[in-house]
Amino acid sequence: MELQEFTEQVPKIRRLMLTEALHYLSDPDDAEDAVQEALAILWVRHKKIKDADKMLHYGVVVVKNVSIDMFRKRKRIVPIDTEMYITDNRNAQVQQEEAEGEQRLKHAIESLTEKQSAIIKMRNVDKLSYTEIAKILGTSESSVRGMICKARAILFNKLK
Amino acid sequence: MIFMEYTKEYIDRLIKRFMDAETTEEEEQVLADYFAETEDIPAEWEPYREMFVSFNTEAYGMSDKFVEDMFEEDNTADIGMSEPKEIARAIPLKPKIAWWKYTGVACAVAVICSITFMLPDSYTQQQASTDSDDSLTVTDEEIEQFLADVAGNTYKAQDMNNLLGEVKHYSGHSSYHQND
Repeated sequence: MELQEFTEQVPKIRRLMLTEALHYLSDPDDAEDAVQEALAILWVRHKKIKDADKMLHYGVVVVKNVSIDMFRKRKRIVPIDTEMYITDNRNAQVQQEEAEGEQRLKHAIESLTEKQSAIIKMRNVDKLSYTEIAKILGTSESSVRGMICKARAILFNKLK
Repeated sequence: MIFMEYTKEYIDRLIKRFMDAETTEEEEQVLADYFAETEDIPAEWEPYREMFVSFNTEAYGMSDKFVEDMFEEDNTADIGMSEPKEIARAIPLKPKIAWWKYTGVACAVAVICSITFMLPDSYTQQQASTDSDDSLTVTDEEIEQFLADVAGNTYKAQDMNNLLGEVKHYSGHSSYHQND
């Protein structure tokens, strides 16, 4: 399934996905987030989705899993990232700085949510327009700009 | 170098717009090219350079494992929450009612139905005997129905004799019009 067909189907399956999300998440904003994340996940596999029926089926399956995942994550106590406290005993200063730089970048990217990371990929790696991303996620362009703005700020703050 | 033509102010303006997600694709390409090609960038822009370099890597996007998990058809086994659609089934305390209770009810219903079917006929007979001469008229259809009933053993022999007697009695009172 290509971009145009995918974005045509989004408005048709969105309501059903939202209803499914609301079974698991009582807050409508959370349910909306779950739907957007689910659509971003569907987009990752869009080339493997054959037709509209399959997209609807996967849409419901994925949004259900995303909703459960969100519910689960909220309940779970976030463990302390032990990796941060492991000291590196390599001696060469340059090597260490390079490694730190890479590590810092890795941590910065990892601090993004799956959805944020996916949107940054759409925009800056796959070079999709804001309009196209909005259609994929079934949301407004300003909402997409807001999410990208937030994700870039997170990256910058982790890298500075 | 082609990027030398961009002033620091211009790039600074683009960076601000980039961080507010207001840049166009072309403007973001200008920034990407600037950070890729320019060697002596201001130290405060280093995070942006790192960011733009990272856009050329495979670092972004959802992890394969996460996507895989989210496509899983049955992913609810260990979630620690109940499926909302699955409502607890009520288990009856007395699962079996003795068969003879059903049989008894069925017999009672059958008897009530039989009586209800018989009622209109006997009621008509009663009405016929008490009504005026005009209402005693018996049509061919009714006679045929009566004969059909007899043939179908609806009436017992004794009843049949009584009824035949009644028919003769009414005929004698010239209330039975033979249409032949």
